[in-house]
Amino acid sequence: MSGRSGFRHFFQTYSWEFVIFVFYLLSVVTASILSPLYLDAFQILYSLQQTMGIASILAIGFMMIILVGEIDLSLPAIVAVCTVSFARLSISGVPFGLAVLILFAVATLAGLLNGFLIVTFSLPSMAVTLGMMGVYRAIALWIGGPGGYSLEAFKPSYIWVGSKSIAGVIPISLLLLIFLFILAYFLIHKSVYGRLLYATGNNRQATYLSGHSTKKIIAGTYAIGGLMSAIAALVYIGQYQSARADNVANILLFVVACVALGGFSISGGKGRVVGLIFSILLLGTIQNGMGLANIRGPVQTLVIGLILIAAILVPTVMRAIGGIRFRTKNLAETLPAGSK
Amino acid sequence: MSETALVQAPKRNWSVVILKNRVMGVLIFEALIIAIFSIASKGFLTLSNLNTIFLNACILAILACAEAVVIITRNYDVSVASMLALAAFVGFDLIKRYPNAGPVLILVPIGIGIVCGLINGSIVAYGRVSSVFVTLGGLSIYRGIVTIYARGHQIEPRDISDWVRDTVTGSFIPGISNLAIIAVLIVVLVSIFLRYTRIGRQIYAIGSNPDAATFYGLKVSRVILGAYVLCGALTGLAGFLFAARSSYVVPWFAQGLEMEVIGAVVVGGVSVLGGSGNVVGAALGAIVLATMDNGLILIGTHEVVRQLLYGAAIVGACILDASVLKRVSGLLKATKRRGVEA
Repeated sequence: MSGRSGFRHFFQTYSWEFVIFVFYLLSVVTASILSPLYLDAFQILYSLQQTMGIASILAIGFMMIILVGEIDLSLPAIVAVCTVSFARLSISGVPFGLAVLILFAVATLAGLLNGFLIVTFSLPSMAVTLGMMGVYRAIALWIGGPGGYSLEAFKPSYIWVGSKSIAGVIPISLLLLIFLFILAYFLIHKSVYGRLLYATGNNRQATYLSGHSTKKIIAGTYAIGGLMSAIAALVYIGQYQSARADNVANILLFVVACVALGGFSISGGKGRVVGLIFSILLLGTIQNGMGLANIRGPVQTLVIGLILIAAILVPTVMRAIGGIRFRTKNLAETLPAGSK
Repeated sequence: MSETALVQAPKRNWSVVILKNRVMGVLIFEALIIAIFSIASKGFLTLSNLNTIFLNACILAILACAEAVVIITRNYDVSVASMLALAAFVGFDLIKRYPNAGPVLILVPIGIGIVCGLINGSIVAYGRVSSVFVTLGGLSIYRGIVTIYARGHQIEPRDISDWVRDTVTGSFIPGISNLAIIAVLIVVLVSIFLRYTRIGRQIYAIGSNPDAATFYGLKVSRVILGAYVLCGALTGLAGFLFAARSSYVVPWFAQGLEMEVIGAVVVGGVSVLGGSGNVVGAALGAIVLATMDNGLILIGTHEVVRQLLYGAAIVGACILDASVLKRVSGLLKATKRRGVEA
């Protein structure tokens, strides 16, 4: 025990993140072998933004909800509400800044409503957010109509976040994403609220008994999730320049895959922002590589599903192996000294 | 003495009454919406329309039955719709290719369902991981497999053999559709299985307290695996029936159906916290949803109201269940305390 150096300690703490990073490097190498088009800074930045941008913004919110041991399936539906509302506000001539303010507030309140329902009645978050998903989709359908809106609905001032890029290379939404990740890092790892998230996820009872309102903490994560959905909607309308009540319906798989692969456990209290970043890079590269290698959409979804299950299973298997090792080690320690 | 009698008398608490008569509550709710719709729309309360509602509810009822078994063990299966599509597509593709094989091919969709259930169940039960994540992965994997398998093709009405149509939409007993008979039979059988067999009781025990079940010596993982396999088998059968009824099978068949299924289960009084409710309730929940569907279409409201009501029904049922549970556990604690003091 005394011989544990700082370096080794670092590896032991960040082992999962390290493994994901190695896999990321491997995927980059494989992708560049598979396709000569891969290794190009613009291609990488652009495709990463296109395939993973919206999913990673949602993943930031989802990560906090997972950290306290809850789940929210309604985030994509809130995104849909926000996209059609942006279109509606754009048509009615509301200035962009005001629209952003209104929708950020509305989405935060929508998230807060989920959280409120869950903490006040102590409901199972999975079933409630499934129901709220239906409610929000219905609201999106009500605002947007069955046809939704296309390019003509949006004034140029609405779509610059998701469509413009600085000097033609760095997409603005990527900068926004980096900024959000930095914020999330400080919120989760450097603030009191962040520590409370881990505490709530690890032992809700103990956190409550040590004088913190776990209800407020949990409801707060849902509010952040709602806010992230609004930001994702802002990027969405720029990227696709359309808004329909049924958009981003299949994004949840990516979000869950990112968070699970990032080392977060659904029971809460585990995982780091760095892990999430690496897992997004890994999944984005895999998707990008598969796209460049002309692998069809359904196969891509299948691969992501398999990765999700692998990401959940590997820690369990590792724990089982670790458990066996731990038991044998204990056995060795209990043996009398002379028997060695 | 008289004082205790006074205290004991009003113990008929509303929450206990609701808990005991939860299925009755669903029936009353069903009667209520039937009354509302028959006032609002003239065509609603006719025999043929009620028959349509019942037939529409049949497949959802079988699926709700399947999902309820898993939910009672305090787990979820959100991959039912994808499982159903996979089973239906592969099953009907084989029926198209081997038209002479006959009714033995009904085993194919059921078999596929069992395999999917085995995969889901073994990962959830033996990996000790969250069922939501696992079956969300399963949802995409099974859907991916069916899309790859289809290669852009689809099953059309002319590909479906006559025996399929005869068994599903025909009627052995005059006046009653076979589909209805099959659905009722399955609900009754699963209900008896859950209520009167040893494994059925174990499923409830595990759902209401997994730790206690483990310490009692139940083989928790094995029972959960069994629940998933049963769910898969019933889903496969439902896929066969659904495809035979709708005559068209495409790779995105039944997409998003899992929400309706879980909705039916929750509305039917099966608690998502596990260990309570029964499949008759889940089947009634399916009938409630089908009635709402039919009535709203007849009234002429569109998709918005339908989805809104679906979502609100799930949330409302959850709130009702949770508050009842809170009251009941509070009562239990109070009774225990009184027992200690006395």
